This record gives sequence, structure tokens and C-alpha cells, in this order.
Amino acid sequence: MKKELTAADIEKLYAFLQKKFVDTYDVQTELVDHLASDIELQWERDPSLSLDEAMQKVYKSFGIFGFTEVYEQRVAAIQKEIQKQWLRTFLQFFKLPYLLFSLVLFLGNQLALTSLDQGVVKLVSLGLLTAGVLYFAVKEYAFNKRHLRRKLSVMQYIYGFLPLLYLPMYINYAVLERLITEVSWPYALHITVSYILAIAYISTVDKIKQKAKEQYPIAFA
Amino acid sequence: MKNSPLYKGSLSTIVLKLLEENSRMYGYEITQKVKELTAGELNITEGALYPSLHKLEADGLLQAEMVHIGNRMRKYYRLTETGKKETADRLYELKAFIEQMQLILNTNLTNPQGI
Repeated sequence: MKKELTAADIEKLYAFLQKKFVDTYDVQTELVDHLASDIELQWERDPSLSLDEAMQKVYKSFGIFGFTEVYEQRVAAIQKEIQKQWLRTFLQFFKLPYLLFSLVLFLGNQLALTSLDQGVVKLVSLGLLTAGVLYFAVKEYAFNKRHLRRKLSVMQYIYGFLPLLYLPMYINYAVLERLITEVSWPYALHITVSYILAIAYISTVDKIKQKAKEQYPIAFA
Repeated sequence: MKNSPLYKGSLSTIVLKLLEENSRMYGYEITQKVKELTAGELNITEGALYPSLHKLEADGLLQAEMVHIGNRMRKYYRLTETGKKETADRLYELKAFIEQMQLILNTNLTNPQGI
């Protein structure tokens, strides 16, 4: 009869990976299946091997860096996926039908800048964006605290770009003010692009989180 | 995997080709399939395979699904529509490259002095 790993053995493999600094459930799960498949193959050849012996034998095949490379490359792939998805969503706002939203936003900003006090409009737009991003961050923190039961690598890196949403706006205002004094449209464009970047990022987080929920439902309560 | 840039550079194409033929596969299955197809000559290391799979997934060429297998979870990969197109392009490129290489190698073999 084919010797297979029990549920307790599987838990032992998760603990083994945790000890080897692979602490996210998604990477652990994929590696556990790999280790388990290879251990079962070892058992087919030599059923007298203990789980620990088979485990060490399989671990050696990962080379001198062990699981480190797999984990590091996974993180790099996640960051790339977030950036690509963000860019794709951002560019959608310059194609129909979302282009209409972008145009309305731009014209609204331009109207505010030309009919109201420019200083106040700039301050309010900055404040709204910062408040919006902070609200989103707090909401996400509360959600994860309540619902995220296992550590997922994607959830660890998905919020890494949040400061990029409002920090450049502060810097760019300072730069624009030195360069442009006569016309208001560059400010309107700047506010519009900053807002679209933030909306695209929030949508990206939502999409990636949804995908993580579908792939790893056990990680969410 | 053989420690040659030639093999390393072809890993993602090998993965795409296998997935084109097998609809869906998981990591360990890919390593075993390559070993089987090459009669043990080519051994894909885990440290190279998983980063490659994750990169292809991030590029939108693969999509993954988790399936319960007994008392553990398994991550299966399959080609997306973009992945299918990319596979066809890469295989076409690879075949053309092999043909060109064969022409060069054959020339050298029949005329080693280059005269």
C-alpha cells in the first residue's frame, strides 16, 4: 500500500518551513505540496525512511540557499504584479468610458482653480487626498486585523505604495509653484492625475485582495 | 537544472510549452515531467522553477488555482489567453533560433577551417 503523509505530517511540514523563515501561508502551501510529493516518492523507493529523514533528503535538493530564493523571488513577483495592475488600471482612465470621468474631474478642478482662491483649492485638494488615503489605510488595517487569519505575502506588500499616493503631491506643488504662476491648468491636471492614481491604486488593492481571497479562502475569516 | 545559461534562459519557455500540452500542472509535476522527457538529463531545481512560475503568473501569462488533494492544498497553473499567445510566439522564436544555430554549426562542421 502506498505510504502517504497524514494531516499531522502536513502540519509538521508547515512548522518545518516556518523554522526555515518561510512565514507566509501562500508560499508555505506551495512548498508543502512540493515537499510532500517528493517525500511520498522517497517512500515509494524506501518505505523504511522516517518522515524526518525523507524531509532532510528533499530539503537538500533545494540547494545551499534553501527556500530563500523561492521566497525572495515570490516577493519580487508580487511587487511587479501590483505595479503592472496599478498601471493598467490607471491607463484605463484615459480610455472610454472612464475618460469621461477624468475629463469631468479635470474640468471641475479647473473651474475651482479659476473661480475660487487658488491657495485654498490647492490646500483642500491636498487635504482631501491625504485624508482619503489615511481613511483607506485605517479601513484596510481594521479589515485585516479582523479577517486575515494567516500571513499572505501579497497582503504584506500590497500596501507598500500607499505613501506614493500623496507624498509626491506635496513635492510637486512646491515645484510647480516655482515654475508656473500665470496659468492654472497645470495645477488642475496635477490634481486630476493624483486623484486618478489614488483611485487606480485602491481598485488594484481591491482586485488583488479579491484574488487572494479566492485562492486562499482559509487565510480569511 | 544544468548550470548553463542556455538552459536557464529557456526555463520559462519549457514551462509554457509543458502547460500548453497538459492544460494544468503543479510545480512538482513539472520537475518530474521534465526529468521524464529528458530521461533524467535535465533536472529543474525548485529554486529556479518556483520563481519562474511566480514571474509568469505576475506577468499575466499563467493563472493559478488552489485544489484540495487529500489533506493538503495544491497550486495548479494553467495558461491564460495571453499566455497561449506568448507560448506560440516564444516557440516560433526558439525554432527559428535552433534552425539558425544548426546552419551555423553545420557550416563549421563541414568547413572547420572556415575557408
